[in-house]
Amino acid sequence: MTFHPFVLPFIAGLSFIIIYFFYKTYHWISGLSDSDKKKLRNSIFTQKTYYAAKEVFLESLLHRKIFRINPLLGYMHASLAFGWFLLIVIGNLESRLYHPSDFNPPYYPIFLGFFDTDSHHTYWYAPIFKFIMNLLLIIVLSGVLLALLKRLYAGLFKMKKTTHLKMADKIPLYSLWLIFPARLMAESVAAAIYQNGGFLTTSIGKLLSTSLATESFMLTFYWLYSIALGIFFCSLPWSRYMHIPSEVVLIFFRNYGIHNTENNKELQEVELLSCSRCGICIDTCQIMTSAKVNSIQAVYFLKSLREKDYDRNKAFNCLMCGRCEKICPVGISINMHRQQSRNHISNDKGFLETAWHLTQKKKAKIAYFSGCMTRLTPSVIVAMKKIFSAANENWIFLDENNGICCGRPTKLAGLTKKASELAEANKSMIHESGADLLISSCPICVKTFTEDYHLNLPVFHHSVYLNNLIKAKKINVQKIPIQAIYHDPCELGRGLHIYDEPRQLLSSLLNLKTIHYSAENALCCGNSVAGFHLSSQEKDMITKDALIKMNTKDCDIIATACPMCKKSFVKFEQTKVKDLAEILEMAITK
Amino acid sequence: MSFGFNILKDRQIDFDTNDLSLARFLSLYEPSFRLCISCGGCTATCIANHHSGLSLRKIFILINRGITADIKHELDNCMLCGKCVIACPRGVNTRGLILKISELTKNSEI
Repeated sequence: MTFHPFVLPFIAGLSFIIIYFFYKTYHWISGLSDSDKKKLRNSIFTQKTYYAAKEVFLESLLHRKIFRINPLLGYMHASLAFGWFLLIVIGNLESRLYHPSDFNPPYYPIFLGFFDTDSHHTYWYAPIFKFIMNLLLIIVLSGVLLALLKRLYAGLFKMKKTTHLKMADKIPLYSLWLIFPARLMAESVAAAIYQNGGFLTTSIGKLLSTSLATESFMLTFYWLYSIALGIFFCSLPWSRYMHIPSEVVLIFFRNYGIHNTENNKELQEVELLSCSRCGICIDTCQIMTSAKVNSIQAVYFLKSLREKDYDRNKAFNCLMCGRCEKICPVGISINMHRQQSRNHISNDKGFLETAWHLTQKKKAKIAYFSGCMTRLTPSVIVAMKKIFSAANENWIFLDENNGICCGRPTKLAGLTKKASELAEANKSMIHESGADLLISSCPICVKTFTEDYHLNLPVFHHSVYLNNLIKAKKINVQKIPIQAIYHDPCELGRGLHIYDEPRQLLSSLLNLKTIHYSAENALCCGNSVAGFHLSSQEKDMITKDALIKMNTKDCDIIATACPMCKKSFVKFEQTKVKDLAEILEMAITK
Repeated sequence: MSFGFNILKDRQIDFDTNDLSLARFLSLYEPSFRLCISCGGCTATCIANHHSGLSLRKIFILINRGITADIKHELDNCMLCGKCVIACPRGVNTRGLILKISELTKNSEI
């Protein structure tokens, strides 16, 4: 017997999801830009495909990154994904070994316990397969149990909050939970009738009294199993479980060098569908942990974006510190999505009239742009001036008297036209100065200078410049006998990947202590220019919490490289907060 | 007859004709608006003020008096740099307010 009507729901669901997935993939690939298509064509038959396949195995099946972040959560995801995958692969292998010549329909291995009633008596390796399959079923069931527990007590997973669900998520979730218990029951009853079970299914089959182990009872469970599978597959495209196929496409695209850039609608959709809503971003978000706002985190934001709901609060109430993006196990470019969403919402016609007139008459080798925020911390400017003169540099101060903003805050507000107008004005001023090097003390400015300005001269954050000065021995310093910790500003660290230069500089000036919340795991000071909606009380909560977490008690100085961070920390901190330039100024010997 | 000087124009605020809807709206959706004590710290630190004379202090006073006609044009010069947020001793979310006002003008409610 190789057919029974109960396989129909499963067949219907499976065919639907396969057709849907191939249609979607075709749609995504055909919607790519010409350069992206070229990248795809050029790299499909290279090593990149192998790396992508390897990444799919490690991330989509084993969930290695989730394991690293939270082992229990990793086990839950891996047991379901990898366990189920092995069940399919080994089940297929098993069925093919029993019936090597027969036509093997796709449902056959899935419902093997029903269709194959005698092979296990003839093949010596059958018990081994039964054992493995039963073991895998236990592993998958343990994953289902953990998923259930996570819904009830998120604290078990050391998670403060797990995601809220909506109806379209609940249907596939409950059907997913039902699939494996139904399979266990169906196979157990089949084992009691046909004696074809493994260690688990045989024992459960024996537990059920003979009156329960009837054919109709078995059929009920097989129908249930098949219907649960069918519903799960059919509801997949509208639920978060669409991440299973989408993530594979995303990983291949990423390995081929196709990324979510500003106007890449297809990639945007692939990324949005790839979010599995694991909820890891929630606990890493300081707006959640410190300011107790639990509605705007990446997972909720991406969810409303997927539903084409451009929620103003979700788009603008974010510090864009990038902590969620760094920890996201799927690697979704969350900040880019926020930026795209802000651009979509904002009404930007550019400045009605440009009131600023910037002229730069003086010429020099080095142009120094302090940035707006640095003008709120004048001690940094004083220190920079002293350092420039100590190093005998030929420099000019670009925005000493009448500078304008670099344009990053307007860009972050979604006002791209205004931002580019500001950029143009600054660019002409920078070029007029005839400098070979542009230095800024503000990471926010450096970020936009390097990414948006397309200048024909190198742009350095002052930490890099100062480190180079010391390396080139253009300035004489003496080590100060104090302990310091270094706070990585978001825009400099996660934004520009400048982690080493400030540390090298500090190590040559004083004793640098390492802290847990550093480099990619650094905290935001709370006052990021990207945060438009947080109240000052909420920002203060973030700043205070960050200082507590950084454990600032045992050090003499908190060093930072961003005027905004300095300004935020001094508000609440007893320990001195100093910019890198100020520390170098202290260490200069004549 | 000219005495070489004029009498100043009447500067009383007429609450019958002035439109306080914006002030009410802002106090509702960005409550920190009500914390402003018109100290002028925002304006003193403002880089746009240096170029275009944008005065946030003046604008907030005008909104509270219900004179909102020219506000949009003036606020257009803001570069959202955020110095005013840091300078404000009362914790007014000035940039949030400016975005809120421009959001309103987009929906042409002002």
